[in-house]
Amino acid sequence: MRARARGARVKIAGALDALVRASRSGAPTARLAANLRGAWLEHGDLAIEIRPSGLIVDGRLAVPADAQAARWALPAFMVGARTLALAPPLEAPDLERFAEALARLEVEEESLRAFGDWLFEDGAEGLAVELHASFVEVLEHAEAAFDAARGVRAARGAAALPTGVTQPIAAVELDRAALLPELGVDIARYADDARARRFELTGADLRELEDGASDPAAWSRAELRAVLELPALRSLADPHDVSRRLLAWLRERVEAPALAMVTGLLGADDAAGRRVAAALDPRALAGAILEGLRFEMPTEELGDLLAVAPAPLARALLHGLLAEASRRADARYFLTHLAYSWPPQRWVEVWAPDAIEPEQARALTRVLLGLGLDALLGDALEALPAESAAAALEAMDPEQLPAHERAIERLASQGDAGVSTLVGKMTGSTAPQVRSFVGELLRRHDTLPWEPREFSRACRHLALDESGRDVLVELSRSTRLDTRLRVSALNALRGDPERQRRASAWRLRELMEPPELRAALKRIRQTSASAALEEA
Amino acid sequence: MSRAAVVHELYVAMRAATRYGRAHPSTEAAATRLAEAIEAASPPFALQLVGEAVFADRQLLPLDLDAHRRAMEVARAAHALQVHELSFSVTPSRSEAAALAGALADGARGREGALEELLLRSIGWREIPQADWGEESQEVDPEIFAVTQVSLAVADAAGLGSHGEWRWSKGLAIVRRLERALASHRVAAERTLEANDLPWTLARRSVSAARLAENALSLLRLPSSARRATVHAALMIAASGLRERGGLPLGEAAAAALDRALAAAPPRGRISPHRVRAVALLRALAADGAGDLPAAKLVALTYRVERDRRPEGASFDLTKVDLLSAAAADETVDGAWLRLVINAEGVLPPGARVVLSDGSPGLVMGPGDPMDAWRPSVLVAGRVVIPDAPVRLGGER
Repeated sequence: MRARARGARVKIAGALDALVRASRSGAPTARLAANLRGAWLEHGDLAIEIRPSGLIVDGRLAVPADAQAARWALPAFMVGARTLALAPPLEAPDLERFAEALARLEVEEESLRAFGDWLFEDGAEGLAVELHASFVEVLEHAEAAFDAARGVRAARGAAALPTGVTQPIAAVELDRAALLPELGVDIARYADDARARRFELTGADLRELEDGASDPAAWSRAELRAVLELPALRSLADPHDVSRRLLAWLRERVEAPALAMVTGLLGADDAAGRRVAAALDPRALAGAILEGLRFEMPTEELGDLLAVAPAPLARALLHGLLAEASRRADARYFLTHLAYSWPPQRWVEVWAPDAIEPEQARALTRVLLGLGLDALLGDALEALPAESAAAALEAMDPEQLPAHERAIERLASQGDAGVSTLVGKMTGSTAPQVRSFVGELLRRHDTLPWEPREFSRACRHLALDESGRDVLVELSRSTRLDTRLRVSALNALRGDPERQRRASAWRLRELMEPPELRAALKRIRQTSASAALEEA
Repeated sequence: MSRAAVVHELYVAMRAATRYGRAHPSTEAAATRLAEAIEAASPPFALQLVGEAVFADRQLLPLDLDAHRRAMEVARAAHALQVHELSFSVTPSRSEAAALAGALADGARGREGALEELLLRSIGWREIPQADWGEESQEVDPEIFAVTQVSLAVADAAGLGSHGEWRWSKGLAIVRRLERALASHRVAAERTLEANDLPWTLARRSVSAARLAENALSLLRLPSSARRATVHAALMIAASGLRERGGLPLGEAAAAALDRALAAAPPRGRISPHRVRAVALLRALAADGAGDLPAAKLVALTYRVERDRRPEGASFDLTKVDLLSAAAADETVDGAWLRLVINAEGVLPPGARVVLSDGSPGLVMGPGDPMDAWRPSVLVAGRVVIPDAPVRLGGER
């Protein structure tokens, strides 16, 4: 190993000791711990050996123990700690806690015992500590208050047993045991099963048991449930750790108990619960829920959560759900179900409509229509940005659009081009009220930059009934309307000579009209005259 | 003056004797101070020099680094003389103190037997067998080690009681002892619990439940954190739920254990991952049987076995094989975990009553023929044998 690398490894041991000393003196430790973590992670294979004489790195005494340096090495050695190595993930606070524990360590039985228990209980998170028997355990073992000779006999299987046990036994007692309903001892069947190898385990059985018993996610979930459901435990837990685990659980899969726990936390009235709730970042929480949500269940629990969630969290969730709903039918279905378990007014309270994208608006519209919440949809349309409102309206059937006149009027008054598309959509409907609405819309907003093709189609649509044709007359004579559009209106009146005449009646203002319009008017008048002549 | 001062004066006197000889005035002065230090420490008391530590009346002496180095020199000299304990019944005379210092000086020079030549009225010494365990564990007989650890675990469990806050430290000590015992000699550990004539006390049954869990889990490759928490939970539920005969239903036992676990405040107000994990197991068992923690099923099984060990309404105790056969006949018991337990314990576990082919009764002591589980080593008429023909279980007709 190069001298430079060796020096860096020795420095890690020194940095650990410096961290312990800083902790002992009450000095700030965060930066030291962060630096140590960084350096140690660079030398992930480094194991620091602990000896009474100090800390050993790569077989050499790196930090000799004295009254100040590595003072903790002796008591740690007495506890049975022999080597320290990394067991990632390692965070700087893990090192701070470890240093704190070492700083408190004294050559005193209670202190040693507590530290040994702490190590055995995996207290040194992020570190792997090789733990041998402590000196106290060595003495306990050596002085064990048992009859050594008897122990040896028992161990070797000699006559440590009373002769009574070796007498003929069992039949009577086992018969009696079998009579106890909770036992049902059946030695014969057990023996048969054993001889038939029915108790054997296959490799697959072992793997299944192993996977189940060591599944970190299952443990984490169970631990989290315990922490959150048991107030005594909750008050002891690190809120950030709890929140991290909770997010991990949700990210993996959103389950009803997890959501119920979050809901409980958000409404917790105890200090510990509030601390954990405060540690939950709304964006991160919403992100985790959206990541783990499978859009099957649990809608009710999510509804409960949304009902009590602070507005930023509910908003982030709602927007995320809408974004999913804009892409996936199952998400839309889920959202529809969800809305049933959530008071409608909460939608308006939390959703921050100004941030809703057009695609989300379409999804929202489908959901609200599915719920029959038309009134709420009207409120929503008014609050949405123009582009998103237009998208939302586009998502509706043409027959539904007249009911949202205010929203369409707003778009039209803002000169939004989306109104043209809406009008085009409405021309697909044969309902008289839709046609009438289209006529009114065109008439009222003759200054809008209508899209010529949509306008032309609308004109042909209006021409289908009397009132529509009246509107066409008005439009064709409107001097504010674009010339091409007026020509379209005129053309649409082709089958109604009477209104065509009215539309083309000469007026002084015509002298000021653009040439193509005058030509069109002239053509109509000529056609009318010819027709009259023919009739005469 | 403290007993640590006695160690210091022992060191000074030993060094003086080493450097100047026993009769030198410096050595005599050091011996005088040693005698005074012993007097000040109020004899009778004993110093144990075990491993790399010094105990006074089995209490660890708090020593700083320098004092520890000095004490280790004394300990090395004493160990060279096959001595692990020095006891002071009364204050020694100066000559006795000087004789002790001289003997230690001889020990430091590697001269064995120096103490054997002495006959001191006030000072005694002895070797403590197994005192080298720890750093020199390979020298300890694994069977004896396992037996000792299991015996100590049962002694520890006697202090747990069935009520009051859970003594985590004691519980951890038991888990640790079982872990080491089983790693050292699995069969001896099992036999110590299962095949002896001592009564099935609550402590013994509790340790037996924990051992059953440890033994079964040792067949699986699990993180130590999961294994230890499961074993500890098995111990906690057994200690809290078992009664002289029978015990509480599982849910109640788990709830009782949970209450005890939560009643004990963790040191420094921060709960360790192990405690959280053990409590999670207890909560799962108290709330909904097992939840989605498969290890809880093993804990439930171990509790069931030890609860039925001494059935209510009966005047006899059942052996492991009776209990396993009862569990095997119960459809509510998780089959995979039961098979794991049976595989770990053996179909004929120690303590099983068997009948040999010639009709003589015997008691299974452990595995015998590695190719035939039905030819275990059996205690018959005071002798342990591996029978020539397969045995049958005592209850088989």
